[in-house]
Parts: sequence; C-alpha cells; structure tokens
Amino acid sequence: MNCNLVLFEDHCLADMSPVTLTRPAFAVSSAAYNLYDVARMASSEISYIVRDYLAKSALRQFPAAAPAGGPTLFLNASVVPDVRYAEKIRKLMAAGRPFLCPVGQRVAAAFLPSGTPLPSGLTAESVTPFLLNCNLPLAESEHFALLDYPFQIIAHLKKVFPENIRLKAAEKKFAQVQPGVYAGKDVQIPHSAVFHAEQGPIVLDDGVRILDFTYFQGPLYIGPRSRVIEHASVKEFSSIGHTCKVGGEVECSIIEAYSNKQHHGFLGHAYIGSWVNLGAGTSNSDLKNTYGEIRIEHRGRRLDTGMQFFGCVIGDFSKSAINTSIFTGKIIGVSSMLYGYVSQNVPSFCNYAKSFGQVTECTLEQAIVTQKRMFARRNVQQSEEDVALLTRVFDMTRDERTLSAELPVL
Amino acid sequence: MCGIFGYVGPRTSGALLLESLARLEYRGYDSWGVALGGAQGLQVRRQAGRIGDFRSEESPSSGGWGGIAHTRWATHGAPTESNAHPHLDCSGEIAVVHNGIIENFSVLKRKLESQGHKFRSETDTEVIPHLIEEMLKSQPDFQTAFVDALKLIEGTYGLAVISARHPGTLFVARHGSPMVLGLGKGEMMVASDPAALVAHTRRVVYMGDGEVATLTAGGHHTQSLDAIPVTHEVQQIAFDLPSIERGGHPHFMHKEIFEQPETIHNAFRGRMVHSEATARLGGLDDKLLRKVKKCHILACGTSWHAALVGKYLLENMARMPTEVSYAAEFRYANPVVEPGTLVIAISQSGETADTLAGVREATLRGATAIGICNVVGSSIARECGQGVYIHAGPEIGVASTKAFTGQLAVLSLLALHLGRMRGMSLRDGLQFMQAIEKLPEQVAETLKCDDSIKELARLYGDANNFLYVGRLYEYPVALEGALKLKEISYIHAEGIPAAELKHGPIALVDPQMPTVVLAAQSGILPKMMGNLQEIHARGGRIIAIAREGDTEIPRIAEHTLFIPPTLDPLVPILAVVPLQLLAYHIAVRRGCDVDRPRNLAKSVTVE
Repeated sequence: MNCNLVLFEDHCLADMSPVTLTRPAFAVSSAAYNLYDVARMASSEISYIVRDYLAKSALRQFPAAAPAGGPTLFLNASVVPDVRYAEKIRKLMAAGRPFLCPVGQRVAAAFLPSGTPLPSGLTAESVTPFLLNCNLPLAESEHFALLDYPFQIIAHLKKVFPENIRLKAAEKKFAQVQPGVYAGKDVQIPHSAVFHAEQGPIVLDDGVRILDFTYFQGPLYIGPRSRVIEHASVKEFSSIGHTCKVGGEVECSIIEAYSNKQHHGFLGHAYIGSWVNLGAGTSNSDLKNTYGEIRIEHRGRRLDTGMQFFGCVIGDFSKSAINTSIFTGKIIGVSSMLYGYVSQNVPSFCNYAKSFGQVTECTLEQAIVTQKRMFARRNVQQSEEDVALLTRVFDMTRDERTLSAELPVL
Repeated sequence: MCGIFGYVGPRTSGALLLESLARLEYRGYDSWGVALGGAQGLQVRRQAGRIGDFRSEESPSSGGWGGIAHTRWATHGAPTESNAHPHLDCSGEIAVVHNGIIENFSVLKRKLESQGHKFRSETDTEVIPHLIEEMLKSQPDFQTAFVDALKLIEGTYGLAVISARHPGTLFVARHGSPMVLGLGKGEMMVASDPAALVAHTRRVVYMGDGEVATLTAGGHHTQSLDAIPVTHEVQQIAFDLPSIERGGHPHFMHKEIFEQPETIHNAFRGRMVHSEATARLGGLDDKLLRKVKKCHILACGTSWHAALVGKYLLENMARMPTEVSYAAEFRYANPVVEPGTLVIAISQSGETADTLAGVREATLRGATAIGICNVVGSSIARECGQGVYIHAGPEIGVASTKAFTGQLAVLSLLALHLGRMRGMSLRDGLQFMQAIEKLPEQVAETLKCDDSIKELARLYGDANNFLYVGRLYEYPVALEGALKLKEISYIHAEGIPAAELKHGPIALVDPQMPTVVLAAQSGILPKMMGNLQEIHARGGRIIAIAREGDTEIPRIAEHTLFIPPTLDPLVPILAVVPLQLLAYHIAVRRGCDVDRPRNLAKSVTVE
C-alpha cells in the first residue's frame, strides 16, 4: 500500500520569524537543498499543511498531492534539510511501524498506520495536538534535527553541507570541469577564475556565469542562472540560490533566490532571504571582538546561540543602502530598508536609519511598489497573491513595530 | 465509591430503599437521596449528611412502583443537598443515580446549556438526565434514547434511572463501575454492591462493562450498547454481610491495598491531556502556578512521606525548589515564607488539625495554598480554596494505603504539569504520561506477590526490629514501609537513607535484624548494590525490592520481591505495595487488630 508523506508546519513557527513569515518552513534552503527537495527524494508525491495565508503562494512553487487513504508519515516542515534524512524517510515509510518522534517541544515526525482516520481540515495549529492524541509509541532511536530559531539555519549549515553537496555534485547533469569543480549546462567560467576544491566540491548549476578574477573555496553551491561578479570571493559553506548576483566576499552564508549582493563588502555566517538587495559596501560582522559566544535578542528573549561565528538574518524583500554595517547577530525583518549602522534588530517594514536619527515605518504601498519594480527587473509578474501576502505579513508584524523602541515616529 | 440501590416491585417505599442503602453507607456518607415512582410522578428527597429517616408520608400514597437511592461520597462538587443524587432533568420526570466519573461532563454541560437545559448542581452526574431528555426530543423510545446518551459519555458509570413516563421499569447501565442485579420473587433490584441485596435475595447477576439492563417486577433484560442481547449466569451470594462489605477481603486494609489499581487510575482519569503531553488539574489556577517560585509542602504521617516523594518529583521534573515540613513543626517554627511560595497541604481526610493550622499560618504570611485531599469539601480543601482531589474513595483502614498511592499519583501529575510549564521536553512529558498510564496494571501485577509475602511474614513475624533503607525516591518509601509496620504490627522499625547506614545504623545490623532494601530504581542501582553488600557482609538478613529482570540482587538478598519496571520517579507507587502487604501479613500473624490499631485514630483532628 502506498504511504503518504505529509510535511506539516506546526504551532511553533513564530520563533522562526522573519524567515518563515513569507515562505513555508520547508522552503528554507540549506546547502543546495530545502526540505521539500529532500522529501521529494523519498517520495514522488508529497502533500503539506502550511499556514492558511501561505497556502496559495506555496502551491505555485511546490506541487502537492492530495493525500490518499493508507498509512501516512508526517514530517515536520522545520526539519533541517539534510539529504541523509531522505533515506531515513524512505525506510520509515517502508517499515510501516507507528511511532511518534518528539524533539524538544515539537513533534518532528510521526507514522500513522493505515486505518487511522485523518480529520479533515488539519491546520498548522491543530496537527500537533492531533498527532499527540493518536497515542503512538514513542520512537526510541529516530531523531530529526529541527530549526527552532533563525540562527540555527547557520548553525546546521556546516553539518549538512558535506553530504548535501556530495549528492548535488553526483547529479547526472553535472560534469567535472576541474578537479572537484562540477558544472551544469551553459556555465561560463573564465580562465582567470580560481577554484580550490580541496576541502569540498564546488557545484555551479545550469546557466551560472562567472566573471573574471573570481575566487572560489569549496565546498559551495551556486544555483541556476546566478552570476558571480568580477573580483568576488565566494568561500566555503556558501549556498547561493537561483538568479542571484554575488560580489565582494561571501563566506558560510545562504542567499535565497533572486537576491543581489553584487558589490564589495563582507557577508559571513548569514542567511539572506529572497528578493533582498544589499547595496555596495554593505557588510556584516560575524564575530564578537571578545571572540565569545554570540547571544542574540529575538522576540523579546535573549538566546545563547552556542556559536562563535554568526552574522545576521535578513527577511525576504529587505534592502540595504550603500555602506550599511550590520552588527553581529542581528535579525532584520521582511521588507525593511537599512541605512548606516544597524546595531539592533530591525522589525519588518521599517526604514531603519538610526544613525541619522530616523526610524519610521515603511508603508505597505511603498513595499508593494518596490516589489513590483524589483520583480520586473527579473521578468516576474507581480500577482494578487504576492500583494496579498505582503499585506498579510504587514498586518501580522504591526505589533512588533509599535512595540519596538526603535520606532519613535510613525 | 458511592452506593446505589434500586428497586422495582410491589414493596416500594422510602423506608425499604433507605434500609437497603444503609448497607452501603460504609462506602461513603456525605449525602444521600431517594427518588420514588408513583401515580403522581416522581418524589425526590435529598439531604447532606448521614442517611436519615424517610417519613412514611413521603412515600407514594398510591401506585408506588419502584425507586432509586444513592449514598454519595463527593467527587465533583461539595457534599451539599443540591449535589446529592438523584439528579433530575429539566422536567423533573427523569431521575438518575450514578457512580463513577464523567470525564467529558464540562463539554456536555456547555452544549446542553446552549440548548437551553438548566443545571442545578455542580456534579458531573447531572448531565445524564439532561442528555437523556435531549435525546428523547428526536427518539421517543426511552431505552434507545438512554443508550444514545450513554454513547456520548466518556468516563465510567454505574447508573440506575427511572422515568415518570415509564412506570414499572428501572433502566440500568454499567461501564467501569460495578452493578449487580438482584433477582427476587415478583420484584427486581439493582445495587452497586451485593451488600445492599442480601437482605432481599441471594440470587444475583453481575453485569458486564458496556451493558444496559431493563428491570421490571417480572424480570430483566440485558443487552450491549449495540443492542445485542447478553445472558449472564445467575449466581448465589454465599458471603456473610461484613465479608461483603470488605469485598471478600479479611480486613479493610487488605481490601484497600487491593483497590489500588483502581484508585490510582481514578487519580489520573480524565486529567491527562495527550494533545499537550501534560496533566490538567481542574482545581488549580495556571496563572497562579506560572508565578510560583518555590513550593513548600506541609503534611503529617504517611502524607508527609508522600510529600518527600513530591519534593523529589517537583525538583527533578519541574526544577521547582521545594521544601517539606511536618505541619506541626512548621506552624510553631516562625517560618520564613518567601514571596511566590506555593504551600501544598497534603491530608487524606482534609481534617488533619496540624496541617490545617499550618495552612492558616502560611496564608497569613502571604503564601498561596492548595490542598491535596481525598475527602471533598473537607476543611483543608475549603481553607485552601483550590486543590486536587485524589479520588481514592473512603479509606476505612486506619493505616493509610490507597490514599498514599493516590497522593503520589496526584503529585506526579502536578510535577508533570509544572514541568511542562517550565521547559520539560515533549518527549519527557509523553514518556512520563505513558508510564503513569501503565501503573494500574503494574500495581495489579505487583499485588500477585501477596502469597510470597505471607510466607515472609511467617519467617519474620517474630522479629523485634526492622530496618528499611532506600535512596532518592525510595527513601520516603523506606520511611512509609517502616511506619506501616510500626502502626499495625507494633514492631519497632526505622527507615533511613541507604547512604546513612555507614554513619551509624549499620551497627544495628546482625542476623536478628531483618533489613528491607529498596533497590528498584535504575539510576542509582550501583550504589544500592554497594549497600546490599555492606549489609550482607555483616550477616544481615535482606528482603529486597527489585526491578523485574534484575539478576544481581537475588544473588545477595535472602528474599527478593520484584516490581515491574517503570520510570524512577514512579517507583514509589509500585515499591510501597509489597511493604504494605508485608506490614499487613506480619500484623495479622501477630494477632493485631489491623483495621483499628491501638492508640491510633484514622483522622487526627486534634493537635
């Protein structure tokens, strides 16, 4: 009997803000793959449960099957996108043994045998109570790492990179063009580019364009149709999405699709969402002067990251002006504009120019117009769903702006 | 734990019902009530307190065809007249008496209220007549409406129902709470306990779970909830009345020890919230619990031993700083009560004078108090205003047994609830819940060692002294085992932390000093093995309590009693059972009055 695979968001996603404000949790990239990709390796047909307001936009990018009757493996959409989990998921589906695998305060995975009725209308809020009520035996040995907080995307990056990039490089479409360097179709590499793949493979996906005098240190991945600007230095554990522009120095960072960091400046141990533009000279710090553990502020709490290196997290659609300097461990919301020194977290939809004495709200209208202009440059048509999503997130984040001491004037 | 008697036939009278009900009064006694069916409909009389008189003028003047009666031991709602059974529907035409607990009564009550039903009591039972009344709106057949209502109920019940519109018929149901049909000549009876039937008939039918029965003067019909007829063998009651009251056990203490699988189940029934991997304790305010910085448990005697286990539970599982005090010491010690202190008062009866005074002292100094009691509406429960009942039913044996394990079960739930509030992982919460849910079955398994313990009593009944040793969660069990032996067999016994042996008490060890060693926790087993060796090397005779499957301990101990494996924090609930039985059998062997030991009172209501 076929086994269903359901990726589910749960009630704990607020802590992953701002990363998951505008995308399903399974669409967070890490080392060339997101969890949806990993799930597809295990099962050709998957379905998912996401927050209602994301359902339409998710369906445009991530095909979903209607769950049929029969046994079902529920996998938390916040599971770290580690390709090693694909085999584990396949085995669990084949074994067919009921189990519940809790991790921390969340359910990471659960297997419901055939005959367990699935209530209609399961939501991100109701799925965990439903699974707990099923009274399944606790899994003794199964474990899935979960992303609870945004900084953990970077914390897990180095752990998953070696196996993820090894699998990516092994895909049939890539040819080894230099020792340890794998290129897809229509990849342009100048003679002046320097590759060091001793520490891990370098994978350049279809249509990647490399300009002169660039330096690459593996392991790293550059997604389809992305461009690496001349004199750029892209270093180990970096994963660049599709249709991005990369310049300056990038190290141990994730850049989601359609984002630009095309000029000089340092980006390290950072997660950059989609449709982000970092102006020339934008840099972030990823190490404290004391070399101590980085502690961050997040949603009213102080959290020890356990990391010596951690840069910043920037939500989708945010922009930085020239020479913006982002201090260590800062969390920037969705659709905000940064100017000068960013010494504190920035809520979503903010014009943050504290160095110049101004912190104001970025209006929804301004955000929508900016999105439309940016989309047009990449031949993407702004849809009603795009506008609805921005509107919804603008409303959802209203409180964080009014509560923030950073916003004296609205 | 309450009592039910129902009758249908020509001898219908209030006096007959009350006389039969009085046979059940030993089971519970905080309120009572009777409903009689006659030509003018139903006549109902309810009262708080012990069973009183039913004046002849209150019996139906004519056409009396049957009735139901109930003696209550409160679980939901205080022991008041309005909470006493029988409970009626809005029209006053359906009367219900009930034993058991309706777990989903809050949900049902809200729904029925939204449909216009008016409730008059705080009980869970009252939803039943209203539910039947609601079902009758779409289903004119009473029996079918009754069964439809039962299908909506979650929990346990033994039910007897009469309806003014259905004279001459008594409707009965059983699920998890015993009901026995009494077969008379031209009359039929039902009771929750054969003790109420013996004066009328010795021919009985024991109903099974999930069955309903209709009784008329001419006979009875029994079927499943799915309308499949069920036939039971008619049995003859052969016991004498006192023996029936003790459920066939030689003493109330023995009966209460053997009731523990059920009473522990009652302590957690309806309180587990699987969807959140926590416990919900309806009597506690979560807003208050979130502000608590420290717990201070006050108790006396056996309850104090439960409190010590509670300290380990709260500190280990909820990381909650916890102190334990003898209530009498606390009240006279000019205690420091820091802001944010939650005082937990533990008392079976809820009337323990010192504990009550301790609560008053603590609240005067700014603490918030909650009670863990067995008796609903007792002084401590009222003084605290909030708390958790253990639902163990009346404990008659002076030496507390089932109340102790009930207290431990409730403290475990409290630790789980606080733990989940304070960062306990989902996995740990679920593991703990699953382990708690296994306890009734594991206690039943443990009770199978009764015969072996009887033999131990023969071997050790003449000893003059006993030592009990244990570590961590088993240390309070050692104290409790020693107390049980002292209070009912009058043998001197001491409970000590095992590590303290070498600081003095080991000097007492010799072949005449039996030592009971509690070694069923997995976490500190190597340390306990060391203690066993120390005692063994000095010629001590060891009775060990070990975890099933342990092969090392029987090599050293002279006798080993096994308990099923569980999580260490729950070991006390299982480990105390063999110690209760050991004390009991030794006391019986020495000819002691087990249920009424000398110099002791069940409830210490004096300072």
